[in-house]
Amino acid sequence: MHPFFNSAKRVLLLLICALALVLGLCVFVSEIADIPLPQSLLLFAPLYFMTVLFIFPNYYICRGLPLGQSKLTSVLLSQTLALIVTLFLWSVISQIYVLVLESLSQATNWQQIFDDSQFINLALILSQYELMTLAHYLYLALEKSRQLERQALQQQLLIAEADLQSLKATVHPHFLFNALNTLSSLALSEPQKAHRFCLLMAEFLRYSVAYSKKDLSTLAEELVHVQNYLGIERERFGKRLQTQFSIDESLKGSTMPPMILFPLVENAIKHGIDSRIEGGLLSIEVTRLKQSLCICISNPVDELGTKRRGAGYGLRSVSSRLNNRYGEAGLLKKKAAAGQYTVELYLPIELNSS
Amino acid sequence: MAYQTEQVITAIIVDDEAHARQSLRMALGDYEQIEIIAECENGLQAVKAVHELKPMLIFLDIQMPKLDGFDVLELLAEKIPYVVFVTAYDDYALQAFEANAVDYVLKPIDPERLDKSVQRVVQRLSENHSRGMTAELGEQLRERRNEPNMDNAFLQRILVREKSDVHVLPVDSVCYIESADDYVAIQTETQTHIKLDRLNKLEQRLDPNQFCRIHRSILLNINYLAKIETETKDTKIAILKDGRQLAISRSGYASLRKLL
Repeated sequence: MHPFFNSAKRVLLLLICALALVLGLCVFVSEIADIPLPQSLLLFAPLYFMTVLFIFPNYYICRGLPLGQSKLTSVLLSQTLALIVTLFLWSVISQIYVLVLESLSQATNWQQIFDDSQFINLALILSQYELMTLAHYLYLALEKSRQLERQALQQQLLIAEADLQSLKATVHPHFLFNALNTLSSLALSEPQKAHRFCLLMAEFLRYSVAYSKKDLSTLAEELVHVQNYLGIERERFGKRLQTQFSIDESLKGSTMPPMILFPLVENAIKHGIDSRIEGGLLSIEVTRLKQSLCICISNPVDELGTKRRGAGYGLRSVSSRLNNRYGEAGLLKKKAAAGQYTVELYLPIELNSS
Repeated sequence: MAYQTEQVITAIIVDDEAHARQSLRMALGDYEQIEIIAECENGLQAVKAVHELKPMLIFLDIQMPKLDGFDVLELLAEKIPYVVFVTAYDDYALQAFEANAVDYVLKPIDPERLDKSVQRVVQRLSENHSRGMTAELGEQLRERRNEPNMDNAFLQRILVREKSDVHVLPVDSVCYIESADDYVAIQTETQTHIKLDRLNKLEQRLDPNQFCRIHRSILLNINYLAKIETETKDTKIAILKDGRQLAISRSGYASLRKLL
């Protein structure tokens, strides 16, 4: 549907404008070519109105060949071709109409008037066509800028939402309850250990709470946070949780958004290690792959399936945060095969010089 | 601590965390009447222990790997002893059926709260030796769990118990399920598992796009269906990929056609 026609109000307005234009042109032609006004109206009003109708489809050419994106030559060629077709159609229908008029009233030499005004008609149609094309391109440009604005707003909303999600995901109440239970047991049986456990918790919570105020962290900071978390979980899981780290030391200063690593490790524990009665080995590997920092987190999962499928919330939030920050250079890949689940994270290496 | 019943109460502790088991054991150490006959680290061990040791009481954690506390109850079915849930999470579901539980105790364990719980168990034991009450609780727990807002995903696996062993059957490995009296026979490609359950109930929990009630007593996994043969005008037979044949009822045929 042509956008100018998508509301009754617009159609009415267009109709009034078109009628005014047609009448104006008829008066204009009668003055210029010295034709009596009644004859001019009878002959030209329908023809000019037809012109207006013929020109509207030009919108689709404008939409199909947007300025700036299409080659100028192809735009010009298409528009010229469309103009020629329009003119041709217009002349044929006009000629038929003139013949009809001739046969209806022989008092006026309609053919003569029509032929005499050929040149002025051509000029009028051409200028109308050009004006309409201009109007269409203007409309399209406006529409496009509006759309861009909308997209930008949407993007902002997405970023804000992703941040909120990751903020919510930093400390789960269940995790806190579990830690509290462990602590209460340790307090009775091993006070020394309970004290160390408190230190771990404090450091873990401090980073979790402060992270939203930080724009960037380093790999080293993220790893310390994960180690604190694993220290807490180790008390709970006992020998069910085995860990293995393999870190390229030269990358420890590389920066990344904070709280990227933790949700992945938490996920591996919650849906992987904890899905198995025997637990398993959680491995975290950080390597350099060309210009990218690659973090690979791998853990076993119960092959027979768990009661609930993980919502994948944590992973999606990390993935969208990476995309927002790095675009195509930030990537999260998931692999599940033979009871082993692997998440690979790629982001550009940005070594902090300070 | 004088209770009405002086009988020894045999109990097991089920919790995946060593610290939690230790704390509970310490707290229960004050009660001479309670004899802890086993500690279980997971649901599998719990099912085995209950089957073999027949305790009167279980202290049961809910969040555990593989089998959670509800799964354990489901698998024990009629053998459920008195259950005291011991859990870290005060979720609404628990509150909802608190009234019917023998009890539930939150971790970390408050000794006073545990004392109340033990008193309650002793009272139940002295009032009513049949364990109907807790079996009823198990039933309610299971129904509660089937409510869409609690766990709106379809069943991914079916748990069956053979004596003290637990089998976890991924639903994709189930060819069909046949009902017989109070139990169902779950047929995989190589085995038959018997489970105390109703076919109607199971049907509700399985994905209706995968499992079709082709007969009053048969729920078929359509992934194992090879073809349908017409015997007479009104009798149709489902041929499975391994050649097994199953009767299709008229209404079963209608629902099968709707699916295919």
